[in-house]
Amino acid sequence: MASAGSGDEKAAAAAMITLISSDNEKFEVTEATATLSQTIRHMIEDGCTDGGVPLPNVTSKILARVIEYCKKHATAAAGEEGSSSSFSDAAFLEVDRAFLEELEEFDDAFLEVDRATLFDLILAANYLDIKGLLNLTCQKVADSVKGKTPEQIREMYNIVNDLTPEEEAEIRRETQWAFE
Amino acid sequence: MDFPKRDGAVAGLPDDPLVEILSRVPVKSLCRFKCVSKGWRDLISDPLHRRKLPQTLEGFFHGIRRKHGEIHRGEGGDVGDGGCSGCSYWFDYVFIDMMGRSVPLVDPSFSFLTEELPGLEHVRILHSCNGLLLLRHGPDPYIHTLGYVVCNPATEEWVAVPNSGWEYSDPPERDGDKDSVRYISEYTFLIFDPAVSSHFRLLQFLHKIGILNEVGLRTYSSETGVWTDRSGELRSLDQGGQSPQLGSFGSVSSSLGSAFINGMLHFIANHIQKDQELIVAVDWEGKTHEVISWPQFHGCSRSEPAFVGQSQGRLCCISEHRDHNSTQITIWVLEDYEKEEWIMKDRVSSFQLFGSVKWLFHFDYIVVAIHPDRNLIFVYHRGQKLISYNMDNKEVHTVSALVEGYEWTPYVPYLSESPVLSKKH
Repeated sequence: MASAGSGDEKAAAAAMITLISSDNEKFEVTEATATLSQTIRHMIEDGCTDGGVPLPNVTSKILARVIEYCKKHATAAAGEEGSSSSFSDAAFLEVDRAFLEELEEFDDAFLEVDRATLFDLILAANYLDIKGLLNLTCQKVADSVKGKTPEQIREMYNIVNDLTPEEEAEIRRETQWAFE
Repeated sequence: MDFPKRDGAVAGLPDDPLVEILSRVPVKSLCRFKCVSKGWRDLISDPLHRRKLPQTLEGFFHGIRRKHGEIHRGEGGDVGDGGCSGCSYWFDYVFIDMMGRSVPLVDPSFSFLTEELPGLEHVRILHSCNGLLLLRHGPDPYIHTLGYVVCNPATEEWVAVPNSGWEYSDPPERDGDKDSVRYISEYTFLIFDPAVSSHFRLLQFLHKIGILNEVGLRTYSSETGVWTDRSGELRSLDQGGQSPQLGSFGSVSSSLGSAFINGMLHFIANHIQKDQELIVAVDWEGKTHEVISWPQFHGCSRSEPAFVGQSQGRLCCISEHRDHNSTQITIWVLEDYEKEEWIMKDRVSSFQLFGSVKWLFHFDYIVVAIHPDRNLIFVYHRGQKLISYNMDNKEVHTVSALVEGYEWTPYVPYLSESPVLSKKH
């Protein structure tokens, strides 16, 4: 981005945080990337990141993906700040739009994963409190289940229907309209 | 991190993330998913999770008009707002619960408000949006100096909003009176979308006497806590700007519903010069972004707008058509918002709805609501009952047999507490 190189960003780029996955792999990331996670942001504020941040719930495979997402979106956040504060002419709006499109493409490609990985990403986004990633991944699952029948949901997720016929009939009676 | 495992919910996905996912599905799907398993049923019904999950139409606030010095009976509500200058009245509200709960969902007497505001006996519902209600104080329709209250009846939280600064004045007795540009009536709308912001906005349209198609506008933001007069800035936009002011169209018809969709408030306005009804879409600053023509129904000589609302994410409207011997209504949905493509979803005659061939007078019935998630409309047959009409199976049902009636406000709860509504009962 045109704005890269401002003093603040240099300072942020200088501060590196080490994240440690459950299988003990270490990842060095900039503070700007790490602080997309509210959980890590709070740890940094409390000064408990020296010697690395252990993340016992996140495997190296998932953490690598999460970091990939954060890096991309941290750049986007920095770009937005730069452009809105000092530039407003058409050329920069054009750059902005192109960048947003690129970001959308990145997100779409990012979501091309199997269901187990998608769930692991949701768990990691939930634990690390990364709003954008949680929204992106949950929306992906929501889009895949909406409009489905209970039978289809059971099939998709290998769920055994443990409702008694009476219980199921009662729910269907209460929410009859939803089955119309 | 340990997540409690629940039998029957999705394997490998704890409750919190599953609720995050379910909060993003349409309410109709959500209701069906209760049938998946015990785990899903309990998760969706859990009161703690409910406030995150989408809600649907639960019922109506129903206002019954009372006059001072009048016993609580017999007021049919046939006098429009402002049609009775000098006499004062107020509204008693009841809640028509469509789910038939034994424990009321909300307190329609608004005692959580009236007990806390000294001197406040009565409130009047002006508008509702995504679970919040806009109320005006006081028994007399022309005392506006007290301002407004925005409340969430589900959480019993509220906040007072000051008066916008305009004062009601009686119409002048002759033309050319120097006071003839003073405002005479107001229509105030509430805009609230928790998916975008916890803050709400108010849009106050003011009709002036003398210049019938002139509309003034003031807006309020809970974020800044101030009213802004936007009448002037809109006028300048009128001169070739992209956002013409509403004043060039005509008067707001607020009694025919409104819809908050695509981030914009939609309501019906009458274009005085063309003698034509239009749907106007304005943003929270009152800037006009879209003017949507009313759908044309060929084969019927006289068509009148009866309602505008939203259902299943789309703008909908209802038209009334009168022939010499019968009346029918047509229900339309804007399938493609950009292309302004109205699709007629259904048509139904007065005979199908009420069992009578004629309903000659516009005020014999009112369209009260379009269900936000179903193919269902609600019509109040004056002096008779509130009915629902299902477009899918053509069935008519009685929702409430209350014969007294004046106002109906559809209610979809919003169950989360909000820091913006700072007062709590």
